[in-house]
Amino acid sequence: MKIHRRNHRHSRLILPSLVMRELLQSTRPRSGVKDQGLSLIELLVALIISLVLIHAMAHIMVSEVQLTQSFEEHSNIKDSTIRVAAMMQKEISYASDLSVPASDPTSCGLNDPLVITGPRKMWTIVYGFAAQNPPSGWVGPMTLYRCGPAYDTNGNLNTASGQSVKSVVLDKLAKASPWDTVINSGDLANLSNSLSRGIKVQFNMTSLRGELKPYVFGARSAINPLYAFGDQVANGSTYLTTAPSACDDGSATSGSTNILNNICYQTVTNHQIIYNNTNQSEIDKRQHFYIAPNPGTLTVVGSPLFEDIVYLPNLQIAYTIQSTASSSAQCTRASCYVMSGINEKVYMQNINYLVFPDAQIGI
Amino acid sequence: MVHTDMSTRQLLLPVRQEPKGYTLIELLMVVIVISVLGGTFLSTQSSSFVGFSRLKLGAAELSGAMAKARDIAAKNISIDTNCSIVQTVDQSTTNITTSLSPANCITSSLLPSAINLRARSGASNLTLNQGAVFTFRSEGMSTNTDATVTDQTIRLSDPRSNIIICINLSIPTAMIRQGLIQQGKTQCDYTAK
Repeated sequence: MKIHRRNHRHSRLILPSLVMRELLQSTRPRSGVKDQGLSLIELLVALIISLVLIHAMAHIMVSEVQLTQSFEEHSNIKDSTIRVAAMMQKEISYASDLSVPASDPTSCGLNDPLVITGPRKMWTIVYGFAAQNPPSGWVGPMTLYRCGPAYDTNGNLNTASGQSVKSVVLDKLAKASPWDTVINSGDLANLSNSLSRGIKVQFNMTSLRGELKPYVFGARSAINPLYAFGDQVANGSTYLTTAPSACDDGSATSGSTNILNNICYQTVTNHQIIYNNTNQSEIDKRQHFYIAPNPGTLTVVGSPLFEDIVYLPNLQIAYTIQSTASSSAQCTRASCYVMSGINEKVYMQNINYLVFPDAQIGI
Repeated sequence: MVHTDMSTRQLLLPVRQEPKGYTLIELLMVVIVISVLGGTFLSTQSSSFVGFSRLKLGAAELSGAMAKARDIAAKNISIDTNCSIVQTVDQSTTNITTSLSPANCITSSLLPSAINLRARSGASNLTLNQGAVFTFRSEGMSTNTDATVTDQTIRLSDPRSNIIICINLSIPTAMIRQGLIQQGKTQCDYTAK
C-alpha cells in the first residue's frame, strides 16, 4: 500500500515530466529528430568501406599506368633496336669484311666485338661492350657501343684522322648473352672461312621488369664479292690459311719504277673437279693487281699462265674503258686502258678481269 | 525537493542525450578545417609543383619534336641522298624550328611545325642552358663540326622548380634520353624513374 502510494505519487510526478518531454520534442524541429548523428562505429565502417573502394580503384589505376608504361618501354626498346639494326645494316652493306674476333683488334678496346671493315680498309667500325658496363648514366644492365667514324651531314662516314667516335648506341641489353652474332662461314680448300659477307645478329633486350625481348635481324654486304676478295687479299683477312705470296710473273710499273711487289698478290687454291669421270684436284693460280685510289699513271702486264685480275677503286661508271688512250675501240686482252679523273690512268696487257666495287668485266 | 530534482533530470537528460553521434555539421566542420590546413600546406608546395609540371611538359615537347624529326628522317630520307633535316633550338626565344637541307629535298609538309616551348608548356620563365642545331639523317644524327662528340644535351629549368630536366641526344643513333638534376646535384641522372 505504501509502495502503491509511492507509485501513485511517483506516477503523479512522472506524468507531468512525460508531458513536458513530449512538449519539448514536439517543439523541436522535425529535422532535429533526424540529427541523431553518426556514431563512431558508423563512421569507421564508412571509412573502411571507402578505403577498400579507394584501394581497389587505385589498384586498377596503378595497373593501367604500369601497363601503359610497359607498353611504352617495349615500344621504345623496339624503336631503338630498329634504328641500330638499320644503321648496322647500312654499314655492313658497304663492308668488305666482317669478323667476330676473340678480342678487339682496334684501339676501341671493346669486348665481344663485331668488326666491320670498309673497302680498302678506309674505315673500321667496331660494335661491342665496354669493360665497365653499364657506363655511368645508362640503365643497362648492358649497353652496346659503336666505335668508328661518325656520319657527316651528307651521310658519309667522316674518315678523317682522329674523327672516330665511341658512343653507346643501345641500352637495356641483358646481362647474360647481350647479343649473338653469327657470321656465315664455310669450309673451302685452303680457307679457314669463306668470305664473311653476311651476319645474323640477335639483340637480347631486357625490360625493367626483367622480361627478355629478343630482336633478330640479318645484314649482308652489297659490295661486289670479287672486289671484296681482292680487298682482303691486299689488306689481309683471317680467312686465308697462308698469306698471299709475291707475284712471280708479269710486271707493274709507275713511270720507270717497278711496283709489282707493291700492288700484286698471288694466291694458289686447290679445288676438286671431275675430269675423265674421276675426281681430281685442280690448282688455281691467280695474280691480283690492286690499284690504289689516285695512283697516277700505271702500266700493268699480267701473265698468260695465270688468271690476272685488276681491282679498281671506283665504281665502274667513273671509268673510261677502251683499247688505248687514243683509241675508243673496245678493250681487249692485248690492250686495255682505263681512266678515271686525272690521277688514275692504267694501261694493261694480258689481264683477264677488271673488278670494280659494283661490277666486274671479263676481257 | 529530491523528487523535484529527479524529475527535472529525467525531464531534460533524455532530450540532451539524443544526438549520440557526430552530426553532419560536425563532420563538415572537420572537413573544412582539414581542407584549410591542407590548402595552406599545398599552397606552399604548389608553386614548385606547378613549375616542375610545366617543366616536364616543356621537356616532353622538346623531346617529342626531336623524335618526330628523327623518325621523319629515318622513314623519308634515302641512305645515299644528300638530304637532312635540320632542327634548331633557340636558347633565347625557346623556339624550335625544323627545316630541310637542301630545301625541299623531301616533301616539306612532312616536317613538324615550329613551336615555342614557353607557350606550349605554359612555363613563361622556362630557360634553356644552350641552343642547339641537330642534323637528322636516315641513320640518325650527324655532325659537321667535331665528329668526336658523342652526344648533345640541353637542360631545361624554371625558377619555380628545384629540379632541372636534361634532354640528351646521342650520336650517331639519335637516341633520346631524359634525365633529372635533383636539387644540390650537378650531373644529369638518366636512370631516375
